Amino acid sequence: MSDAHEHEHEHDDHPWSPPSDIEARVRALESLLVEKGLTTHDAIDTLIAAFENDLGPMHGARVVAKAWTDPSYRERLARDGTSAIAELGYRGLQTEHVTALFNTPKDHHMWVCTLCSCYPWTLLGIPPVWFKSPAYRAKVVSHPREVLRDFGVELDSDVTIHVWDTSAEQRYIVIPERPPGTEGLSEVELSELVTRDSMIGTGFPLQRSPRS
Amino acid sequence: MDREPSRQIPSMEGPVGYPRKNGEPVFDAPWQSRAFGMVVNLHTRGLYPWDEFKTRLIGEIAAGAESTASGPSPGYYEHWVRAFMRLLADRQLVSEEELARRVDEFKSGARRQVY
Repeated sequence: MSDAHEHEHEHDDHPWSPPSDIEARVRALESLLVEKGLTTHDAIDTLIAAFENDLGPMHGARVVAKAWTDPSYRERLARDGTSAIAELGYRGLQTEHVTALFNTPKDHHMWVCTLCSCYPWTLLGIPPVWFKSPAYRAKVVSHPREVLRDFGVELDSDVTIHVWDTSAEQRYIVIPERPPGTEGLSEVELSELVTRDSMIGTGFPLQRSPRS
Repeated sequence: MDREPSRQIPSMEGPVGYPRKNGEPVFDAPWQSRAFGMVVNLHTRGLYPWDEFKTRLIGEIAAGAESTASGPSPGYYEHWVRAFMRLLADRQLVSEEELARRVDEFKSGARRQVY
C-alpha cells in the first residue's frame, strides 16, 4: 500500500544504518501509539492512502461535475449509477451499488447509515466523524431539517427532504444542483466546487472557484 | 457536531497548509506520511479536537525562523512532528521521557522494526 510500509520492511534485507533524528522520532511515536492501542499500522496506512492516492471526495466530485456538464452522462448516471461511476474508473467493493440522487429546486436528498457507518470510501474518501455519531444517525431520520440547520443549510419550506438509509449493498451519492453563474467553468473547475458534504446532502457546492 | 477531518485539514492555508499538489498531500519521505497519518488518525478517533493540533502547529511554525507567508515552510513536517509530540505530552498520551527512551532505542539499533 504505502511507500512507508514497503520501506520499513526493506530493513529486513539491508544492512542497518542509524535513522536520522526525525525518522527515529516518528518511528518511536508510531511504535508507542500502536503499543498503547491508540492506533494501528493499518489504520494509518488506510488513512494515508485515502488522502494520497484515492483522495476520495475528488472522485465523487468528478462524477458530479460530469453530471453537470454532460447530459448523456447524467442520463446514464440516473439509470445505473454503478456503471456510470465505473466509466470514470472508480470501482471497488464499496462502490458496487451506487445510486445517484439528483437534487432539484423542490427535492433535497441526503443519506445516512442508521445501522453502522457504511460509506462510499472510493468516492468520498474517509468518512467524517459526525457521520458515525449516534446523534447524526438518529436525528437525521426524524428531524432532517434540524440536522441540516446544524450544518448551516436552510431549505425553503416547500422543498421536500428525502432521507436515504445506506447499507453494505447500497450506497448513495447526492448530485447537488449546479451553482448559478458557473456557465463558463470547465469540468475540472466545476469539480473543485463540489464539497464532500454536498454529496452527502448536508451541504451545498461552493459558489465560486477557489482560485478566483 | 465536528466537521472533520477532510474539511478542516485542507482548509489550513498559508504557512500552516501542508504541501499539496492538485489538492493531494505531497510527502518527500515516508516518515512525513506516517506523521501525517498518525495525527489525522488519532484525531478521527476522537482523541483531540483538530484545533488542539492546529494551534500547536501554528506555534511551532511561528517559532521557526524559516517560515514564509506564502506557503508551507521548508521544515513543515519537522514542525508537524514537534507539534504532535507536544500535544501527546499535554494530553498525557505519550510522555516526553518514554518517547526519548524509545527514540534512543531506534537510534542505537536496539529496536529496528516499527512493525
